[in-house]
Amino acid sequence: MTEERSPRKKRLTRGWIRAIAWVAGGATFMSGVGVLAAAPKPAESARASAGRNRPVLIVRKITRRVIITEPAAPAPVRYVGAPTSSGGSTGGGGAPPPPPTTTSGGS
Amino acid sequence: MTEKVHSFRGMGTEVRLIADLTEDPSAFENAALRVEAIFAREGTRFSRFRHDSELSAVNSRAGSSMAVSPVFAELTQRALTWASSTDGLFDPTVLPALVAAGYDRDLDEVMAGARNAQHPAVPCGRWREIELLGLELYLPDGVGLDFGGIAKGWAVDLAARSAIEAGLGWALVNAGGDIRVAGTTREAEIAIEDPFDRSKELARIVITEGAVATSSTTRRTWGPGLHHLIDPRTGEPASTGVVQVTAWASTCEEAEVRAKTALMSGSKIDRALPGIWVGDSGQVLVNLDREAAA
Repeated sequence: MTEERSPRKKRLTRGWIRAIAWVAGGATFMSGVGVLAAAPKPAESARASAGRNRPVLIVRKITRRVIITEPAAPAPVRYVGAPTSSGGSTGGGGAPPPPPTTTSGGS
Repeated sequence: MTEKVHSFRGMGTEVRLIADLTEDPSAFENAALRVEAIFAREGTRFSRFRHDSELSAVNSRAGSSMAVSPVFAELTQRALTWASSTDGLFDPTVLPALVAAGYDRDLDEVMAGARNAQHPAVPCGRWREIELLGLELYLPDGVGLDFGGIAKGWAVDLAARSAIEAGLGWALVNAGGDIRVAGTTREAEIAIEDPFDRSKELARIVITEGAVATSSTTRRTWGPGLHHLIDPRTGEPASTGVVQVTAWASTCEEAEVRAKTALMSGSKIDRALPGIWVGDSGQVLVNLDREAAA
């Protein structure tokens, strides 16, 4: 008696299984990236986009307000003021102030 | 240039002797030698960064009595008198607090980052525990002396007098902004630096006699809020709303103390004190009147 054997199912090789696993894993990973890419972004302000390529400068604005109390009697010290003209100024500011005898800058 | 100028480094800063161009060259040379010798000698005596200085020797023996030189005793007595008359706003015992804030070695090294970690603020005011009897000094344990600005101001006064004794008719000595004029009455124009921009002048004054000194929290700094002017009330670098004070007085030593204590006074500005205050918002107060009302 002859027995008819059903044909054996062809099994996937290890290489194929490994390749399918890599493709599935990669697709899962990329789906996360896609979700992030598709998410709505906050609108970029004009100032932020304009200043993107500029160096950030923190400018501390010093407002000079000078209050002077004049001496009632002749004093050994006279206030000359702050020199206003500088060597590079324009507008007829005149010559730069003469150099002082010396400087006091704090110790 | 209408003046003769001799410059050198002394007491950790640049020192300048200025005299009229018409002065005798040999008198000027003699004066320059004397001034330089004074700064070399007193710099060695009062430096806390030199292990061989008298100040270092005294501080290393805190907790015991010791004999000091007449000059050391004199300046100690002056410092204690200033501390008493300013109710402790001038304090010669801020050294531990200064070291805790990071100023533990020569400023150039501190600014280069070669300093130990900061420590919590150290209380000041221990000048009251110092005992000085003649040349016998008792320094309590844990107390360190640092005369700071007044040693420099005192040396400036000494140098200006010595320059006149050397034969100059008029002399100006400037040690890092501590200025004293001596001799015949003559006008000297002093530029006051802008504390927010050292390349600019804030103001100019003309003095005919006496001394000028400026204290600033924007000099000798080694980090945000870290500078050499310790507020004895907190033990920390002063933050009083005043960033610079220029004061004038009959001696440079007094001008130094006045400038420093005025800066410590902060918003409670002593309007009876002639000087130029600069607030941290840029406000400038110029008081030329000794009798101005508060």
